[in-house]
Order: sequence, then C-alpha cells, then structure tokens
Amino acid sequence: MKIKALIRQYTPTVALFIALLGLWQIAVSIGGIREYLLPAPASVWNSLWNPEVAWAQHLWATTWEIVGAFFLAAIVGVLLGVAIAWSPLLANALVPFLVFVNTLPKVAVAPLFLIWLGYGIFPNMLMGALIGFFPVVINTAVGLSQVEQDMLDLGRVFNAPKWKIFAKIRIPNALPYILSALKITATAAVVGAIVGEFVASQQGLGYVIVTTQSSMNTGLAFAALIWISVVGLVLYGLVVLLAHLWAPWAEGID
Amino acid sequence: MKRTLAPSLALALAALLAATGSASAQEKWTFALNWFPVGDHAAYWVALDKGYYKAKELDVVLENSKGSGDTIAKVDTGRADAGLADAAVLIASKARGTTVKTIGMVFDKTPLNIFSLKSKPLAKPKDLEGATLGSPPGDAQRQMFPAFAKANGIDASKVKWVNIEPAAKIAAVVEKRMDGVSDYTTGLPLYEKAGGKGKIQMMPWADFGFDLYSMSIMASEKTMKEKPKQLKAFLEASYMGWRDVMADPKAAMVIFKKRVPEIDVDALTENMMMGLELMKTKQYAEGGIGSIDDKRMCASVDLVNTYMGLPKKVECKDVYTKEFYTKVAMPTASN
Repeated sequence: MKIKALIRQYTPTVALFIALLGLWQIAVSIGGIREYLLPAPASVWNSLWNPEVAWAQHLWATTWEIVGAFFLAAIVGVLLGVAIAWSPLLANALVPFLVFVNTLPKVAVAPLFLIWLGYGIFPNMLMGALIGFFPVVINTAVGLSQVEQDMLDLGRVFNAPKWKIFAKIRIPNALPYILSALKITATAAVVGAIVGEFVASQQGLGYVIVTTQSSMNTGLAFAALIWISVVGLVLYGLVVLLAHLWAPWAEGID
Repeated sequence: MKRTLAPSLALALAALLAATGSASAQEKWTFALNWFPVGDHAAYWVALDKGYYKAKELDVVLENSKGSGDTIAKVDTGRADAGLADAAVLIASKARGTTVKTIGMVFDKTPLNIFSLKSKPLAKPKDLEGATLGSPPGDAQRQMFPAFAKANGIDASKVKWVNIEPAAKIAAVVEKRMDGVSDYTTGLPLYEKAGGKGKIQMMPWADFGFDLYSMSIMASEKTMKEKPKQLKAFLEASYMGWRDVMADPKAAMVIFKKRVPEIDVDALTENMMMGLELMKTKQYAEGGIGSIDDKRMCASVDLVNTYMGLPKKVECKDVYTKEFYTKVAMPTASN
C-alpha cells in the first residue's frame, strides 16, 4: 500500500525528468546543436566518469567547503538568534547591521575575501556561511519569541529563571523554525562554496567548471554541475531527515 | 499582444525591404569587444565616432563581453557579427566545433607577460620555478607555459598555478596573495595604479623568444558567407580607426571618453600606448595595420596543437583567412 502511494507520488517527477532528458537528447541530435554549446546527455554522462578529471579530489574539496559553511552558518546563526531574542538591547544593536550584511551582494564581496584571506577551503567556507547564516538568525529569533503565552505563564507560576524558560520552553519551540531555516542554509552553502571557487581556487567543482569552460569543454562543465547538485541534494536530504527525526511534530512548517 | 505584433512585423518587413531595396540603408552590425572598456578598444570608438562605419553603411553597436570564450560563442551563434578574440583561444575552439576564423590581427607582437612585484621580482623565466602564479585557466600564458618553459630550459612542474577571476588579478599581486599573475603587458598602468609607479615587474614573453599571435578580429562562417561585403567594410573601417589612434592617441582618448564616460583616461591612455608599441612593427609597416603573417599564424597553430590538449588536431588553413582584409597603411608621421 505504502509503496503504491510512493509510486503514485513520484511517477510525475520521474516522468518529467525522463521527458526533459529525451527532449534534450532530441534537440541536440536533431537540432544539430554543437557540443560546446550544449553537450548531449550521453556525453555528459560519460564526462561524469571521465578519468582525466580527479573527481574524487574535487568532490572532497567542495564537500568540505559546503559542510563547513553549513555548520558555521548554523552555529553563528543560532547564537545570534539567541542573542537577539534574549536582549532587546542586543536586538536593536545587531538587527540593522545583520540586515545590512545580508543585503550585500556576496558575489561582489568574494574578490575582497581573496585579498583579505587568500584562497583555499576556509575562505570558501566563510563565503558559504555568509550567504547562509541570515535565515537561521531570523528564524531562531522568531521561533524563540513566538511562544504561546500560556506556556510562558506556566513557567512564571513555577518561578522558573529566564535561562530555564529559554531551555525548556523557548528553544524547543524554536527548533522547527531553525530546522526549516537550515534547509535554506544547505542550498546557500553550495552557492557560497562555488562563488568562492569561481574567484580563486586550485581545486573543487567550481574550479573544474571555470577550467573546462575556458577551453569550451562544456561536457565536463555540465558533469561538474551535476556533481555539485548531488552534493547539494545529499546535504538537503540530511537536513530534512534530521528535521524529521528531531522535530517530527513540526513537519511542513516552512 | 497580437494586435501590437502585427504592425511591428509589418514595420520589420518594410525595413527589410528598404534595406535590400535602397543602397543608403544602414545595416545593423554588432561587434563583440573582448572585455569591459580597455585602451585597445579606443580604435573602434574612434571609427564609430568619425563615421567610418556609417560611411560604409554599417550601423555598428560595440558590445562588452567577458573574455575570448564569450566573444567566440557570441559570434559563432550569431549574437554578434564579428568580435575580438585571442588567437590561441580561437584556434583551440576550432577543435570543439566552432566555425569562427581570424580575419585580421590587432597586436602584432605578443603581449603575453607575467606581472610580479619589484620587491619579489619574477624577472626572468628561471625565477618562476617555485613560484605561485594566479591565472584564469583560459589565459594563453597558462596554456602555453610548457612551451615557454621548454624554450627557456626551466622546469614547468615547479610552477604552481591558481585559478583566479580576471578581475582579481591586480589585487592578487599587489596584496601579495600570489607571487605573480599572467596578464598582457598592456595592463601595466593598471597594476601601477594599484601597486605604485615603478613597483611592478614585467616579464614580457616576447623578450624571451616566445611568439604567439594573440588579439585578433574574427567572424563566423555564416557572416563570411552571407555578409562578405559588409565584413570587409567593417574590417577596413576598424583599421582606419586604428590608424587614427596611431596618428593622434590623445584625440582618440577624447573620443573614447566622450563615448564611454566611465573610463579612467590616465590609466587607459598608457594602456593604449603600450598596445600601440605592439603594433609598430615591420609587418604592419609593410603589410598594413592588422595584416596576418601566414608563417607565424601556422606556427601559433602548431603551438596550440602541441600544448593545449585538444580533442583533435586543428589545421592552419581553418583558423584564418585574408579574404576580407583591406590594407590600411600606418600613418607616416607616426611618432
């Protein structure tokens, strides 16, 4: 029964995917589109396993950057969110500044990172974190403050100190909000890592894209894109799974 | 929607008829510049401003691009009628199925070069061993480095290359994030602007026995076949622009500034002057501005075939044609 439901749910997805692949192949083989503009799906598939590219090494570097960016954004984001919810003074001081940082176009900031921090895995992690931390801050703060008044009154009746109300009432309330923000952060971390690699890099999937594009080897660039999306999807899936396990009562709060 | 489409369609048809019917109609012509405004673009703005294109019935639009890969794609797919591209990149692109060909040169001497700081200079090829160099992967210096290393007897494997965005090159050197970066000699004024006058070290490859064609004007097979007359006219008018730049660089910059107000005149004037240095050659004096030397072109193709790891060998005759070239003589009173 359950399997049937799953099949019914995913049939349209798979059908659309296959149809698009088919269209793509037809467009390339019948439309006579040249390889460097749009490589055929079959040639992209071959590029995915092309031994000329050290895929494992590049996947490893980019995955590191993405995972690092994700955790950095998560930790800093939650801490800032707590600070904002904890003290109105801090909120007044921090929020305008954070909004300002968030509105900066990160692509324009990336070359400055090169000057300040050099190149490598760590600056790219920072870039990913910079793009991804803001939703965590906001959702944490909102989750911590939008608590049912009854619950807070209950805490007060028992004379619970502020930190205990935080730990026992506010944080559990905020958890679904935070997890929902982390889904956004997961994709933002991917963007950040690639933006960083585009500006300066010696390895990583963004490095592969820039390198292969410059020699018009578009098949390999597509392959790198697919590997990036694999990393991104796996991270996203893990966050969804975590949310499912950790705060099952809050499904679909996005 | 439909209502608005019909009259515009009719207008377009009318325009088309007019264009084929009368000789005085201006034909729209897009020229893809290789980058954001740099000094060697002045010539095309001069040609445009002085009406050289217009006199040949071309309504030219000059469009910025992001490097030779971008201009080649634009021209090859018909989004531009002609464009500027590095010859080495163009040659390599032929192996991947593009139909573009070089129809005339810009620089005669190679501008390939490596910049570093005088405080830690990379002055001769041997200095490169053990150095970290920043370079976009498409730069000819990076692709051709094995050839350069071999010619100068240095160990290419001892040089560490880092991918960087073209816009980050200057900062990477000046802020000492890398020992050197690959860039055309003509970029010197911009490096000096950031790093200080006299603080920048050059290593022009031309000084170390390396010759490779670089900046060129190119067009696609489709343009060559369908608009041969216009292409020839465009090329001649462009070299007339170059001739005027050579005769009076200052006046050229005034026009450039008028047309593109965002430019930094001081930096780009020097930038342009350095470009002119690469054009004051015997080849251009005798053959005309932008004339192609068959032997050197084929030697460039050989280098690309040998060192760029192409999926198939490129034939020399497929990468260029002199069919559209009209001789424009260098100004006689040139400095």
